[in-house]
Parts: sequence; structure tokens; C-alpha cells
Amino acid sequence: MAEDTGWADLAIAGVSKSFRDPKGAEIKALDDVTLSIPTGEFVVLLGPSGCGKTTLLRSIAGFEKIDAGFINLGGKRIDQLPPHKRPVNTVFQSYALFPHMSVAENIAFGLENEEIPKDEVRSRVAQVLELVEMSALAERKPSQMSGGQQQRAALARALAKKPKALLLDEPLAALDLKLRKSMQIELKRIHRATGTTFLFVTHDQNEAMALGDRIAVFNNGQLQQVGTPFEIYTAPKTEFVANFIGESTVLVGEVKGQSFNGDGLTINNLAQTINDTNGAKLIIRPEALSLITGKSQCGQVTIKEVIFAGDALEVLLLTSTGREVKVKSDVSLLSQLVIGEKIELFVDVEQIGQLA
Amino acid sequence: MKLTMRRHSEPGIYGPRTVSIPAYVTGVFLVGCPLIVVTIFSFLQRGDFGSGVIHKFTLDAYRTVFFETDLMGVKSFNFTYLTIIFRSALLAFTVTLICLIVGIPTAIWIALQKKSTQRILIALVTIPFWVNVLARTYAWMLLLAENGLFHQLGAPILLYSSWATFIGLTYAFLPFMVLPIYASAEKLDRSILEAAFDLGASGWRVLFRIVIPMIKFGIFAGVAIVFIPALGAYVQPALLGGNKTMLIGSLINDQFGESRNWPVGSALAVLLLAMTGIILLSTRKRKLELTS
Amino acid sequence: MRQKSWSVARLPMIRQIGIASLIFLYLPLLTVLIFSFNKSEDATVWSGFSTRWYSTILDNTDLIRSAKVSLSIAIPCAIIAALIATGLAIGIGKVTGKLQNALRALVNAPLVLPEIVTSVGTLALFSLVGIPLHYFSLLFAHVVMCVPFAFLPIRSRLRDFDENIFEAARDLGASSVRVMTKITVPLLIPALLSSGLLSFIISMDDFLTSLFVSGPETTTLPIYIFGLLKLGATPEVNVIAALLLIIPTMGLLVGITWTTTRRRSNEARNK
Repeated sequence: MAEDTGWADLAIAGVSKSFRDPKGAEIKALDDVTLSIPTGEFVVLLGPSGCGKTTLLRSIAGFEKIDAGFINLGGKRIDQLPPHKRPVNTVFQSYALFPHMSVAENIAFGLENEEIPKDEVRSRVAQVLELVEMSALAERKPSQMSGGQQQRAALARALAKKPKALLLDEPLAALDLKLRKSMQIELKRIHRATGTTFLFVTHDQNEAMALGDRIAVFNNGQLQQVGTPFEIYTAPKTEFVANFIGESTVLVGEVKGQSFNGDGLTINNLAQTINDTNGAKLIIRPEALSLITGKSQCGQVTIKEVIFAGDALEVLLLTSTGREVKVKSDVSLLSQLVIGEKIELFVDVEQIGQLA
Repeated sequence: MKLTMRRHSEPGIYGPRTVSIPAYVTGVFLVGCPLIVVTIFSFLQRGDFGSGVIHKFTLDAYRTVFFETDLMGVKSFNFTYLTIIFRSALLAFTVTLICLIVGIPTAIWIALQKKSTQRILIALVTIPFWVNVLARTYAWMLLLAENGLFHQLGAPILLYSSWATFIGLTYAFLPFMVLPIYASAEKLDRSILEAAFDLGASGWRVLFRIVIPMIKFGIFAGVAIVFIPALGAYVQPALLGGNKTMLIGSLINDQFGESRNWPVGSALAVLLLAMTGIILLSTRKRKLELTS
Repeated sequence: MRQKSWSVARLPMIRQIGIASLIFLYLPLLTVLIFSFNKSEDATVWSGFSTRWYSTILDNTDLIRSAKVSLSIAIPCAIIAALIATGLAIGIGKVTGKLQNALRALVNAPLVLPEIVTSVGTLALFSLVGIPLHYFSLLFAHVVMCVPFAFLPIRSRLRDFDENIFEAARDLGASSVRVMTKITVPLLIPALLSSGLLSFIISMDDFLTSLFVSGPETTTLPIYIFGLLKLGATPEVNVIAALLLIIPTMGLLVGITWTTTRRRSNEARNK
């Protein structure tokens, strides 16, 4: 049931918004955010609490007024419209189902607001219930349903109106892990089936990487980086992104002629993408480092801690300058690693990224 | 410290904002205007034959309240009115004090019961609240009268005295004191009390150093709900005090009724209003200080 | 689970004072109740059980007439005050501006100021503007008095709801009016009922404002009763006072049982 919602590119340009805290100080919730989302993409807004991702979502929905910039949807400017006139719909974290109405009535509510004839309302309600696999529960009231069911109902209610963009505000946050994972798969399925642009807010990086076609990472109201999960993971542009997504080691030193020197280590044969600079920051993921001979040698490090993680070892080491290095190592090394001893460090140079 | 940003919801979240207009109209016209008019009246002249007012500006009303001129033409402070005002304030203060002494322990006692008992006890406290003040005051007329129960049991006849008024007021306002304090007290975390006892504090210490400071908002609310109406009470002085000891309430009623001096009655009302205003503003200031 | 009376036992005197205050609250009421069944004409000396004075009540035409006047004011007052208060709660929403706060403080004033000030003021206003003291002037005075009370249960109920529900309604395309009619008001109905009931009781019970603002034809029940009370204790008055006691108590007990059974059935259903 791939729906064609028409041209629904979402363009967010230079959007800023400030709040005043109780003491009167100004807090920038959104700081000059620019983001382009083509029709039908599943974009995840990711970041820690208070980073602005929910504020951006609410601004698109119309519950917050932006102070600067504009938001266009399908070529039309929407940031000056009241929420009920925008072709977007929201799935709230608390579901926000109308407690005095059944699921079917909840869904029908949105359609009735568009003055759609009764027959069509009924058929669309049935359609969308089938999409979320809730047809049997149509007459139930929200208080009679589980969290997962309420979530699907909220989803159905928002999708019934065939919005140009669906906004989801941490909808899976209240579900337990197992249910969460199955709902993530469900969401992907529904996304493919409807072809609607999905804008999904979360603070869980694993969720973000599982769901998003692209991820937009936010911190302190600023958009840090946008990219596919792979791009974000392997080539983070800022230290924040590097630390927020997965684990990383950041080495500081000098890069000259494809060689790095810093933090007591030397790395040669760097990729062409690494630029010469004095204050270079290299980022390396734990799986790109090794304690076994075979890749490029970089220098000596001292073993600080060894953590057994089931399928691998997480080894924390310190360079001569005291920089912490995180290495993902095979479990077989467990007996050979003694805390306090020095060991040789190896790196796969092709997986080294450079931070701005 | 987590900075919670205030969600500036779009105004009119529950419905169109215009539906609040009737309320505002009512407020402005039927609450604001009466207060303004009564203030104006206090500066007007007493009408002929005592009824109503003549629209002429004068300070006569306030002069009558504060000063008096004796037969020799000597001006001095009019102690009659001022005594009444002072007496009313003293009475209201005493009533509030007793209500606090009785009400605070009662509220705490109820709040420490198990939930089902709490509901029953609060219902018991609330019932008198719903009985008409006239009936509740009359009950004391019965008890305190000549040949009333108390007299039969050997107590003196208390009816038609300031003691009767005092008892009647305390009786009427006790539920008003208990309920807001209870509302604060039921939110108390009992484990804090248990921790205090664990640390060796005596019962009195826990009560005064822990419980009471934690319920102080309820206490402030209770004080405001008792003191202000007690100041302007009319029914109890009229029925139980026999109007022998005049209080502000009875005095105002008198000026608008038998004595037919509306400007003076208005002036007294304005004074009462001013006293109320001072109390309200100081409690608000106290509240702001405590919350920041 | 800790002994429930543990803290109670350790805090000094609170149990004793608590019980004493309950006795204090109920002793006078019970006295009135008992003496309303007193046989003799002496209101204060017990001489045996009899219901004779109860039957005289119905013959008291003045009493009946004043009761009718009170009802004719209280019922419309309850409806109007509940409506106005609902409008206020809905319209004021979650916005707080300086003007809004000032207007709300004004509407709330009858709750906070001594009743004698507001009633005298209302009398003065009516006198200045030339409104005669008849039915409608009394009705409006009562409505003004009841609105701040009626506002409380409605606002408290609105706050209980997840704010997102109303946002969701807007999100789904509903105009302000539709949000109000299809979502807010249906959800408020229980609160509207308690609002109306509260206003009804306050209006029926009101004495001071009615005293000042009523005219010769609008003698309400409390005004009539006050007139009787001023004359002292009599058996008839005993009965009237007892009725003033019994009726609200019955009403409260019914109300409490009703809400308790509803709550229990809701809890059972949701399990």
C-alpha cells in the first residue's frame, strides 16, 4: 500500500529558538539548524536530553514558534501556520490517545476534522488499523490496552490522515527492550508500506542506527552532523559525535605528510583524506585497534583495565601521555593481558578518521 | 541540576480563548466595581435621612472613624471605633492561633493513618464544613444558653459574651484550618520521619523541626483561610455575642442598616479590605521567599 | 509493612488532639440532633423523645416560601456559575500573562476577601447604578460568589490530563472550537457536575451576601432562619437546625459512597 504523498521534501533552514529559564537567562534550544529531508526518508534526530531534538520536532509540528529561519514542506512554508493546518502529524511519547474514545473513534477524529464523508472515514480507519495490525481492537478504549497496543493506535491515528511527514517523539521510550526491538521492525515495515517521510526523535544511539536512513546528531541546539549510520559511525566529524555514537579513542598530535605524531604514538601511511595540521585530532574505533601483530604498529601503551564483554574484550590502555585508548580485542587474549604491563599497539590505518 | 525548560504551549490549548470572556466580565463588573464603588462611597457624604449617599466629596466618614470631638470641641482619637477594629484583629488572631494548635496535630494525625482510614477521617472533618454556619453557630447557642447543656452541667452562662463568639468562631473555622494542612501533610514522605527517629530524635523534635517545616505551605494557606474571614465575621458575634461586643463585621452591618451611615460603613469596609490586603501581600511575599 | 500507628505513636499528643478535635466538632451537632427530638417546649432541657416538632415544620409557610426562594436562586446560579467557570478554565488555558493573572485574581477575589466587604460592595454598586434589589440582582451576586469555587474542580481535572492529548487534537486538524467541544468538554463532564453541586450548596447556604443584597421579596432560607435564631433557642429552631445538619450529611454520604463504588469498579475493570 505504497502511498504517494506527493512532493513532500522537508526543508529546515536557519531555524533558531530560545527559551528563558526561570532566572531569566536565555537558553538557545535551537541554534541555526539547517537540514534537508527528501520525500519518504526515515530520519532520526539523535542527541542527549535537552539537545533540541524534541524542540525541533515540536517546531515542525507547530507547538513551538521559531524565532528565526523557516520550515518548508513540499514547497510550502509551514512555520507560520497553526498546528491544525500543517500537513504533519505527531506520535507522542505518552501516546496521548483520547481516553473517552475507542481506538476507531480516535482514528476517525482526525479524518472528521477534514470533512471527509462518513463512508470514506470508515474505510480509511479500517485500512490503517490493518496496517498496524490492530483491527481486532478497534472498539477498545485506551485504558483497556497495553502500552504496545496504545502505541500502535497512536501511530494509526497519525497515519490515517496521510500526512506529508510523520513526527515521532521518542515513541518507543516507554516500552521494554523486547517490545521495543519488535516495534522498531514494525516501524520500518510501516514506513516502507506508506512511503511517508518519518522524523523520529530518540536519545538511544542503537535505536537510531537501527532505524534511520540518515541520522541527524544534535547537541546544545546545534546540528553536529547528518549522515547515514555508516557515515556517522566511521567518519564522525566532531568529538561529540564520535563519543556519542559508539566508543572511540581520540589522539591529539601533528600530522605531516601522511604521518601522525602525538600522544606518545607514531602512525604512518595515513589515508589521503587525513590533512596535514598541527592540532590534529584522529579518531579511531576500538575494533580498528589491535594488540596482535599484523597491522601498522604505533607504539607502546600500558594496560589499565580489561573488561570481559561476553563476545570480546574491552581493553582500556594508557599512552605515555596519559591518553586513554580503547581496544576491542579477541577473548583469547584474556590470559595474556596483565594490568600495568606495557604492550604494543597496532592500528588499521584505513579506519582512522579525522575530527574537525 | 536539571534545567527544565518551560513548555510554552500554544495558547488556547483547551479551546478558544474567547470563552473566558464572560468570566472576565463578571470579575471586572461584579467584583472589581463593588470594591471601587465602596471605596468611593467612603469618601462621600452621608445621605439625608441616612439612606444612601450624597455625591459630594468629604472625608467625614474617615474623620468619624478615627477622631471624635467632645462637647468642648476638643478633638481626640476616637477610641470606640479603633477599639473595635483592634478587638476584631485580636479575636481573629486568637481564633487562628487556637485553630493552629488544634488543627496542625489533627491534620498530621489524619495524614499518618492508612489510606482508607484517612478518607474516613477527612470525610468526618469535611461534614461540618458543609453544614450551614447558622446551624453550627446555633448549636453553641443551645449549649451555652441559660439552661443549656453547659449551664446544666455547672458551667457559667457563656452565651452572649465574647467567649461565646470566640468558641463559635473557632468551631466554625477549625475544618478550614485542618483541610489545607492535611493536603500538605499527606504528601509527606513517611520514610523521612522514620529516618529522623532512627537518628535518635525525640517526638517533639521531629514534630517541630521536621514535620511542621515541611507542611508550612499548608499552614500558611490555613492561616489565610481562617484569619481573614474571622476578621470580618458577622454571624457569630450577632448570634453568640448578642451584639454586645461589637466587632468590625457587626459594625459595618450596623452602619449599613440601623445606623444608616453608608460612608462610615464603607470606610470601615475599606479599612478591613486594607488589612486583608496587607495580610495577603505579606503571605505572598513569604511564599515567594520560600520557593526561590 | 510497618505498623501503621508507629509514627503516630511517636509524635507527641497528635492522636489525643486529633480525637479531641473530632469530638469537639461533633458534640454540638449531635446535641442539636438529639434535642430536635426533645418532647417539651423547652429547647434546652431534655424531657423525652418525640418527633412532634418535625411535623410542625411543614406548616411553617414562611419557611417553605424562603426555601423556595433559595432553590430558585441556587439552581440557576449553579448552572450559570459552572458554565462561566468552565469558560474561564478553558479560555485561560496554560497561558500566564500579566493581564491574565490580574483578571484571574479578580475572579478569585470572593474566595479570598471577607464576605462582608464583597457583599457591602455589591450593595453599594447596585445602589449607585440604580439596580433594585430583586431576584436578578441577588442571582448575579450569588453567581459572582460561586464562580471561584466552581473553577477549582474544573481546573484540577484539566490539569490531571496529559497536556499532549489536547495538542494531539490540534495536531489532527481540530480547530480551537472543535478541541473544546469534542475533547475538552466531554472529558470535563464529571468536574462540571461537582462544580455545579458545589455552587448549589454555596448558594443555598449563603447568608451574608444574601442579607445585604436581598430585597423584601427575596428572603432566602438562611435569612429567614437567621431571623428565627436571633430570637433564641426554640424547639422549632432545633428541628430546622437539625435538618440543616441531616440533609448535607446524607448528601455527602451518598456522594462518597457513589464515588467510592465507581472508583472500586474502575479499579477492578482495569486490572
